[in-house]
Amino acid sequence: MFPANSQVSVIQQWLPGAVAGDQAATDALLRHYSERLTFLTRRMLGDFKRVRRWAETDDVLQNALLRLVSAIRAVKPATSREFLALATLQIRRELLDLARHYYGPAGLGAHHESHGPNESEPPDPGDVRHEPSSLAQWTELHEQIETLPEEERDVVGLLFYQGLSQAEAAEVLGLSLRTVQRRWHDALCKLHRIWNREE
Amino acid sequence: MGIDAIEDLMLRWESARQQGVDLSPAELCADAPHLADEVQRRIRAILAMEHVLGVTEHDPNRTMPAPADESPFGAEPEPLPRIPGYEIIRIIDQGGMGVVYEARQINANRIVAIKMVSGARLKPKAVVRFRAEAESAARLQHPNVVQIFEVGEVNGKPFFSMEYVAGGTLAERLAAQPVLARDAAALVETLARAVHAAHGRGIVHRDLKPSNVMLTADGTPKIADFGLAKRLDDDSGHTHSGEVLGTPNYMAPEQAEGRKDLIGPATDIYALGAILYELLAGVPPFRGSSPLDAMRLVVSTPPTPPSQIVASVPTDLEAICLKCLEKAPEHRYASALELAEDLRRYLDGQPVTARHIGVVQHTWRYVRTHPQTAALAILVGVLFLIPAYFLIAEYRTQRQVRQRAVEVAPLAREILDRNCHECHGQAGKKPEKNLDILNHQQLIGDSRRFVVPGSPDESRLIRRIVDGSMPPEDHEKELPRVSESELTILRDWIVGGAPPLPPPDPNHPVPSAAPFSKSAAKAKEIFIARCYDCHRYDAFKGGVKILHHRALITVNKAIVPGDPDKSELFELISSKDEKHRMPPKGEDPLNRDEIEAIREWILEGAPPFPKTLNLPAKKTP
Repeated sequence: MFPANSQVSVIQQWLPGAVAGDQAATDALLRHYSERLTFLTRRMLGDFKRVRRWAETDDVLQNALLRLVSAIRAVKPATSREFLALATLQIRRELLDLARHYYGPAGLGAHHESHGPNESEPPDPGDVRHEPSSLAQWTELHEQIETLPEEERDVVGLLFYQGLSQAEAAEVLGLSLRTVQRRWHDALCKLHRIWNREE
Repeated sequence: MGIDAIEDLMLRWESARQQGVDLSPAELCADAPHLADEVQRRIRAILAMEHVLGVTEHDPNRTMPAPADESPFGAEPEPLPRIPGYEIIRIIDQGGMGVVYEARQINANRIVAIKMVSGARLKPKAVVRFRAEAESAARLQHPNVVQIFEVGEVNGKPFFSMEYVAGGTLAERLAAQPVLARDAAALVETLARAVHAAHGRGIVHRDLKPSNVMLTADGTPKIADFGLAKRLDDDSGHTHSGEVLGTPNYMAPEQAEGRKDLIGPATDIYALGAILYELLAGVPPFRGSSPLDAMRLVVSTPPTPPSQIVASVPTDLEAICLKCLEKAPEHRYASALELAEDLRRYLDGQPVTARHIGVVQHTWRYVRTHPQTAALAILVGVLFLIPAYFLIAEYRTQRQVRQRAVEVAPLAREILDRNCHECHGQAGKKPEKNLDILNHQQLIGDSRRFVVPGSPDESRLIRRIVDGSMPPEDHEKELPRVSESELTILRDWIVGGAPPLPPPDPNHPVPSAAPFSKSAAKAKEIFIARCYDCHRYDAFKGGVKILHHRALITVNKAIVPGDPDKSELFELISSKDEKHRMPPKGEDPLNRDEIEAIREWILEGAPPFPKTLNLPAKKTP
């Protein structure tokens, strides 16, 4: 957890080092993103414990973070805004993969029992009631965020994927707070229609 | 102008909530009340999506909201709906297709499950089709099928109430413990018999899978969503792969290929085989790395024999299972009943029919040991037996078709009575004057070719149902539609020569989902005794059969439940005007007690008539 006003400063502090290949700076950025990605995954899958039984979720996160590191080194984002755009893209891809891989209709998580870390516990029945459709909804949501107008997509990227506050997002994007709020409202109204399958 | 004003109001709301003040739409729109609805809609959308995404901007201390332990799906801030006649208790399940609630049916005082379809994308025609299909499924009664009680619509959203089954689903049970071969065979036998009963009524499930098999507390399996689950998928126009694909694990090759023309009873037999496979092997027959991959396997690859996964799977049971999973529908069991009986033979220790390979091996051995006899037999076969075989096969097919027609004749009568009895004369352009739809002689003997035995496509009855003029589409509120499964039954009846329609069987009345009502029984008795033949063609837009409860309620003001004074039928029976009353002039009018009984019935909400009273023979003119 980080205090509200430290998101952007954490990035600004460690980004140049990470781009230059400094291990300590990279680690600091990774810790930061690991928590965010963990939160979003948990939000999406609802029951994090069950996912952990299906695969070492830490490995999944690790992979996402490694991809992020290689992306940072390849693209060399100069500003925190560029970095955040890159990270948002990586996070979204990772969540989509996770959804499809573990909880798709034919995914590992559907239909089968699993044992928890303690073998003596009764097995945890596979849950087939919610996941496919809910995960399909999440998948569709991530995809629809991709198709929002760029201005709205940037705001959703910072507020949802990056967990910034509206004020921080306004600062990063160089916009007024009211503009960020207006774009956030418009984006949410669109996504709500999709989430509820309205025409 | 309007949009700017709304955006400003939304920004005021946002800035107020950042400071912890929750402004209501009414407060926000005090100066512009006409915008209140739109503002409220937006606020609800924003709050709902922030909740889903886990973003809570109005909390000034947050950057990372605390991870919520609850699933975001169960916590959608959606109020429980109001459905007349039911008291909604809680949400049981929420999926892509809709929400399932636990509810109390007030007048029957029983707990039911209500499935409400959340498809705002459903087009009105799709809703009508869905209702017709659900009503047809509601008439299916079988101890191993979840009974549908009522089909209705609230705010344009179709819903149906059904038996509440408390024990969970087979999918949950499968995950909890392995299943013994004999238990698996017995379970699938039970399911196959239930499926066969549905097929007999023209209803194909199309989405059988363990999560659609409910288990009661004592373990009795009951199949849910007959004919409905896939119908919604088809009609909602969802194109997202995760939605339409559903679970490819139990999907038949013809479904995976999108061959709708091949979908039929054999599709359900495949799914039963897939369920049996999973019971035996612990895994479904095909599992791909993605839904598309799984579908590719379903279409192109033979399943791994279950015994290669679990060595103890009995050979006979494996043969039965693999016969269900044949790629070509015609290579599977011809009916779910045949599957059930083969499973029964396995359970009784008799040889099963699925093991064709044994016969082939046996014949081959004979040919090798008696080559001359075999050559002679083949010659005889080519010259005589093969043509004879085809003749016999043709004869048997025709006999089956005729037999099927006789079997479905009572159902055909029921459908004609319920769906088409009221519709002659209703469609202005194509009136069927003086046609008694239940008079077999008129139906087949008439020069208007209403029913042409053997040729459904030449029969005007079928053509008019298909083109939507019978029952007329603009009367869909009063007249129930003919569902696709019912149309199949009418076609089967005509293909097999349109045999005579039997009279309704008083021992097997169409069961009523409604609880018994004394006032309704009394009203029915009076109507039968006094008004059975007196329906007036000049009333209610062309007449209404007095015992057709649904038509009485839905035809414009014939009966207005709860309000006798607004009910035209009540006015007719209590009228002093000799020219305009029921029973008509020349017959005694109803006495005061009878009128009072009818009034009481209407005041009580005009509950449905019980089905148990026998009808009198029709008066001959």
